Amino acid sequence: MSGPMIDVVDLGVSFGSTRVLHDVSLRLETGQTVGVVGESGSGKSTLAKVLVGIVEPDAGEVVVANTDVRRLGRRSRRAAQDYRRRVQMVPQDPFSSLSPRRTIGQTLAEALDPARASVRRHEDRIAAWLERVGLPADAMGRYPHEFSGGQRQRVAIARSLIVEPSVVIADEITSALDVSVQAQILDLIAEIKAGLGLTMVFISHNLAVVQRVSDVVAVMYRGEVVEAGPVEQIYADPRHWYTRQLLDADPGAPGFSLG
Amino acid sequence: MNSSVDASIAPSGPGAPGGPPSAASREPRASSLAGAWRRFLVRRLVGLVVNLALLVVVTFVIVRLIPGDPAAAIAGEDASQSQVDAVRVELGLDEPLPEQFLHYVVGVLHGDFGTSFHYQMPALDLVRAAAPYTITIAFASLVVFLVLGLAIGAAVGIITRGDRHRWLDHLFNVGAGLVASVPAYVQATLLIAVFAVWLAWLPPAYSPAYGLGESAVLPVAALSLGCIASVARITRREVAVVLEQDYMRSARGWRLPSLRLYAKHMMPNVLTTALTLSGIILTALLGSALIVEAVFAWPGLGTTTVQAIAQFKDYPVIRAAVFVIGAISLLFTLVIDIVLGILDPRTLGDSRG
Amino acid sequence: MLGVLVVVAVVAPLVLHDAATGLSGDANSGSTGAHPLGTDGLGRDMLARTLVATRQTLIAATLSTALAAVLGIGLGVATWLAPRRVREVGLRLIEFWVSYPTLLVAIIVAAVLGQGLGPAVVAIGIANAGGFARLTANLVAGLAAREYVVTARLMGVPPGRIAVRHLIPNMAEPQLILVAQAFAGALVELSGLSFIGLGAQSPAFDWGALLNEGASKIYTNPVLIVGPSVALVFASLAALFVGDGLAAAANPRTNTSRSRLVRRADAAAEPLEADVLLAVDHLTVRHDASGRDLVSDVSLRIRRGEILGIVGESGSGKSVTASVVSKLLAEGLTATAARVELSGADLLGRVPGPELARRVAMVYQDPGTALNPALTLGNQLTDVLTSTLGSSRRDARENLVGHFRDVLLTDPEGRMRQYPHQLSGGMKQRAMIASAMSTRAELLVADEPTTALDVTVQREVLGLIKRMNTTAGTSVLFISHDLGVVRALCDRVLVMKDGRIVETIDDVAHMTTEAVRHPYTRQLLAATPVVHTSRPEVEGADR
Repeated sequence: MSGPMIDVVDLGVSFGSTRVLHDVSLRLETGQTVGVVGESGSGKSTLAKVLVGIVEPDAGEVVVANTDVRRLGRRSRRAAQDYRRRVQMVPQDPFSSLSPRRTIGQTLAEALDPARASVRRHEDRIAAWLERVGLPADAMGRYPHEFSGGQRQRVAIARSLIVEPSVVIADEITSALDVSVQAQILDLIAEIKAGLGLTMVFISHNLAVVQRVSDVVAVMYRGEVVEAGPVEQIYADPRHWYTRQLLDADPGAPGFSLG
Repeated sequence: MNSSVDASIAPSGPGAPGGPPSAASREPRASSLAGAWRRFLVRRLVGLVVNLALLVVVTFVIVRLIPGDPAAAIAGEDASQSQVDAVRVELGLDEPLPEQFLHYVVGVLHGDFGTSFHYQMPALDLVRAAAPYTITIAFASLVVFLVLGLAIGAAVGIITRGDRHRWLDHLFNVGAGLVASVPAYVQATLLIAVFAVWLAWLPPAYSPAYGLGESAVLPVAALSLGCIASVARITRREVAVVLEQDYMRSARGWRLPSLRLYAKHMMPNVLTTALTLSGIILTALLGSALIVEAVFAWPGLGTTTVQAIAQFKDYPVIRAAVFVIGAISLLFTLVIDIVLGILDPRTLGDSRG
Repeated sequence: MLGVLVVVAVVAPLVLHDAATGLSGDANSGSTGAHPLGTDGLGRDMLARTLVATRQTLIAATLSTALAAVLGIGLGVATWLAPRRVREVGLRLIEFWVSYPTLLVAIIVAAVLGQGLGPAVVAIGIANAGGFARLTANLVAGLAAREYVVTARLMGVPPGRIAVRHLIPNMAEPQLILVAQAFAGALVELSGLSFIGLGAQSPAFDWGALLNEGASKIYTNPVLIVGPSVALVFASLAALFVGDGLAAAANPRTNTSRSRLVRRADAAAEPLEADVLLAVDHLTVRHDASGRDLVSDVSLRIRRGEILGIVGESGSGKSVTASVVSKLLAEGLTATAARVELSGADLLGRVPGPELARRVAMVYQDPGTALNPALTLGNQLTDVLTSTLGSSRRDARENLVGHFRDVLLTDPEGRMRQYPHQLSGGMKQRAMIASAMSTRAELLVADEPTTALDVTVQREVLGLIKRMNTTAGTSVLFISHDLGVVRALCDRVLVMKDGRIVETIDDVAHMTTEAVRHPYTRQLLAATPVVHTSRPEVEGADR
């Protein structure tokens, strides 16, 4: 493999007459994590959807894992599926991301083997991954409603990692959780990242959370990346007014005041 | 890592339409009310035209779908060949299919559905004469069931809120369930038995000898009783839902007097849902009107249609009647949606209809 | 009830077949010992005929319901599997289908297929299929947007298997309810068709045909309608109760009772210091149904001009505590306390509405749902001033517009005429704060007022609350899950866990993992993500 894992150049997306993304550029090396921060309406979720291939770009280049995402639809079905297995998304809401009528084992088996979804054939691997995300192997036979939000999010993480993807896209995966559960999930992410050398796009509205897990950060505002760079640099020396405003709005930040 | 550090702010509307609806609805919609009305009316008028066009197709297809030779089936088993041929020519079945359709459409546009086999007069005239009778009882029932249903449902809903007065709750459930589930024509028959036969207060059937109002009482009662119960059930359930809402907690937090709390803050929200569902109930009401009319020999569209199907196989009349009933149903639904729009402008954005 | 019907349907034709079709001497008999429900024109016993007709009627209704369900569900799923264009057309047609009375559709189909029970079954089946198709299409549209379906699609699960594994199992409950309703409908409609002569044709008979016969002789022999009427009512009721039962099982309604505030018997309340605005002593809140304590033995004081924060995670009881203070305890909860006193008013007793409104104002978590969607801002927010506090309409409007200006809402007069959905979340929350300011209440209870907002908007809203505190002297009870927010705003902080106060922090400025005592507070502090900067101007700040 040569070149960056994710290479986005001048990406533009419009829904009807509304421009949602505009001249977005982003480059990420293998094994790195980029934190994408922004408020509602900033276009960060749309960016995630472009990367996994649900939303088609109107302009610009998007190359992920040496695959041109724009031509995905036009290429063979097989290539598109292969791409979607290599780029995995962990969804935001742990309550709607698992089918209530299927056991955890069946959900994970479906990820491994979409057509047959046989739990028995992949039992060992499913058990190994459940343990890896901090759940007992016998969780396999149970249904989502028997688990807490944090535990479900662990299952969702296991589901996206079990296929051994090249890139993982995490869209606000901790925003529905209590702070102490959030801290545990962030620890889990950090641990897995270190173990597997994953490339990750971590999307969040929370600057502090992004700082905890990212190597580089991109700040989005109204469909544009207004500032991007290494985490230490952006947090220590923000150049763009909006980045400064965001940093100062964090209640724990030194620049925070209620004047 | 590239970055396009550019502070120019592109005009950016509501968030990604592909996102969950809850997120999208939280965004402010910068649309004016007049614009919303205009879009609503345009969309509904287009929908009306499309539905009328579909009606034309359906009424055309009715005859074509009859198994075997439609002309022979319509003329009946003991018809002579010349009678069958006459039917064939009258319905235009001797022409090629596209031409038949074209003729039919042109005819409909001119208000011509053909001539009634039985009465030997234009089918549409027959239907037009019957329509006011149906509209009268349907509209009267609509008013009665909306007013009484909403009032009873709201009252019971408020009295039984938070599981107060459980006996009333149970009584209401059984009573309204019973009335709502008994078919209108059974109620009609029972009403006749009690009020016309036993008590002899009201006429059992339509006859020019009685006044229109007098003879309409039982049909309207038969039609609206079930609907009152249905609307009351819906309203009662909706009241329970609305009372749980955050904005009702806000209103309680302002310590408003009860009357104001329920009449001003609760009722508009109950009405929205109740009226939306009333549209569906109204559709069902039009359906049962067809049968109830038969019970009371009410000279409306139902009696006309049923006779045309069961006795005369009078296809031009069937076509005209189905078209007119469909059109009435569409118009009533449109009226309800307009009322809804006035009460709650948010419903204008719905993609129904 | 359904059981009775099925038994009758199976047994009656076997036993009573002869009685129902056999001719007897006395035609058109009224109610007699031999024929309790009379006989028809050919002297056949009506009771027997009614009972025998059960089988015919039930079989027909079952068949047409099955036809409707299979056809409708199949079509509904098919529209989802189809390409986009076909789907649009399909949905349009389904809408058209259901926008006409079922009976009209059935009559049309009957007009095409001719008269008789068979065609009637098909006609009702086709007419009811529209309802199933629409329900299925709606459910599928909702389910298909669920993340687990989207994820399965991205995983490459074939669409047919998604339908079988994820869609159909998850819509079983609403479909079952509709089946029960459609069955009741089919019973009624089939009999209706027979009743007007389009269904069962002589010599076949079902309830509708029998009722028709009876109705035609209603003057001469009214007893004839009793049998078929009772049968139809009984069957419809059975179907209704089955449907209601299924619906209740699908959406269990919790049994709630009214909320209650009870004074503890051992209330030995010590006298209050002069500057205490709110005093709560030994508050316990119990969930009546489960008997669980949501809040246990909580005591707190808020002094005039003070901002007290309560932090905790979900289930800690912080919001329930706030609801006792604002006297808006949810139904099904019982609160017991030795004292809940706000500015001299005893909240455990009855307090007149206007007095309460003058003392305490509220701001809630989700500004999107806390405002009434059917009323304009001006209309609903002035209500507390006019109908509770007795201002004139004009004063109330001026008062509110002034506070709209204070919370920096642009075009304050215009906002008064807007509906909540025309405003963003931040603007709605500002309007709520303006409303709280307008009553000049002594205490503001703010329950997670910034959780639903973006961080930059959060800062503005927190600033407004702080300003209300400093300029108007309003005391604040501020509920939050975010230690960072609480630290920035509050004078004192209570940490709650599982319904109890685990720690009280008086020195909020120096709240560090070293300074706090309780392990849970320490854990919460460690878990709260904090932005680390090394910006030159803030070097040496307290961390």
